[in-house]
Amino acid sequence: MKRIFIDYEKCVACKACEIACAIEHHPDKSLLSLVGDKNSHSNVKVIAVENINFASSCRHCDPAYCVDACPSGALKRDKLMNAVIVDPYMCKACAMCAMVCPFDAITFKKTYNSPFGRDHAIKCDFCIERIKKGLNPACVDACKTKALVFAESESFVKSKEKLDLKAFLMGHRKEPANIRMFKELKKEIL
Amino acid sequence: MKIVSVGCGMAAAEFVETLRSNGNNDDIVMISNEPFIPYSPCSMPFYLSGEPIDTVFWKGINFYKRYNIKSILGRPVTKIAVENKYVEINGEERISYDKLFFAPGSRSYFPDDNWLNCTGVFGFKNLSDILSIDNYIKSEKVKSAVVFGGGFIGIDAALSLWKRGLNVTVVHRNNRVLSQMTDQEGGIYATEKLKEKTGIKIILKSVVKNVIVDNGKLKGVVLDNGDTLVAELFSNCRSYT
Repeated sequence: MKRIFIDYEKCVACKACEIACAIEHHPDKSLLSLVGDKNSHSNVKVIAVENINFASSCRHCDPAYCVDACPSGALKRDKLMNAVIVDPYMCKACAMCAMVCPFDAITFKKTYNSPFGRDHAIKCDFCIERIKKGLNPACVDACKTKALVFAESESFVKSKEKLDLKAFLMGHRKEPANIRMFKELKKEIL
Repeated sequence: MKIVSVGCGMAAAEFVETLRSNGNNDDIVMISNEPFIPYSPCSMPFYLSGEPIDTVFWKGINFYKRYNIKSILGRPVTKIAVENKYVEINGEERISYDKLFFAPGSRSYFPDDNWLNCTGVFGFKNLSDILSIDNYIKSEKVKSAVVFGGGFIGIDAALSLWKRGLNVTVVHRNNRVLSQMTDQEGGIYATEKLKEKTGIKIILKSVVKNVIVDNGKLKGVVLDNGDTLVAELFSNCRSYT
């Protein structure tokens, strides 16, 4: 099963993924229409923890705490990608899913998809419509440093494990360039 | 094996779904005194405030068919014979079981039975209550309502009636709403926010003592300090304690 992976050693916090996500989920699908639009939303958020930055969005866990917690039947699994999808029609914005989410990946907002003109849960929908057309999720395509990767989960995890183990055993582990850059930038500012 | 569930609520629906998803193929019978497919009590106030009823049925409208369940609806279980392993429905029919799942849910508590001898007094616990309130508001063109109890259910009831366009008054015993779930500071903040963001009137440190009835219809309620509140609808959302 393909999944979106985030490599914090490559992320430079440019937020291109956030903008691409907002464009993809806007009915006009254009950057200009986002300006000043309160109903636009992005399902991915770039988070900064000291010198480490990374794009955070739903991990589509299996089993997922949020699906178990939802008391209104709004969170369901998609058959194609086994992704956790929110149905705004059923969502009552009770925030049980947000409370149990270990990744802070669910927020609440009134969007263009709100059927009753009120807040509902918003979260990553894996860009299912794009995947059906054979495209990558919008955030992955927008990432300029290849920090976001859309890959088969098992083979990707194995190759990453191998590389990391090799680097650790050979003592080749170096500080990633982006983290060095953030440290330098902080020094400049201070 | 035959499994009988007393109740068709959230617990029973989740129980049956888990059984089936783990490959159980036993005969399952679900019995409820309400005539509905499993519904989510958390979603009910939204129906009252004007959203469609199908959003209440959280496990889908084909629940019984999907999981191959025999349902007995609209008829209450009146007796459970544990030694002989059967349940009696409505005092007439007997249904035997091998395993019994007991999840009948809760009911609204009314301190005085006389409160129920008039129209306009409701609980706020199950979908039957909500449908009765909905029908009553429509048929009597209700304009004002009193909600007794400022917990989760009371506040949900007040908000849904307020969204419906009624003048709502919440009567609560404590010095803040949601007093069981919040500390002083948080609860007082929530009370102020609720007043600020909605037109709901909140009367604290008070208890509804009695109802005023005229010609079989509710006309208002009497508080413990002797004040009367005029209302055509009274929803009792207080807990036992």
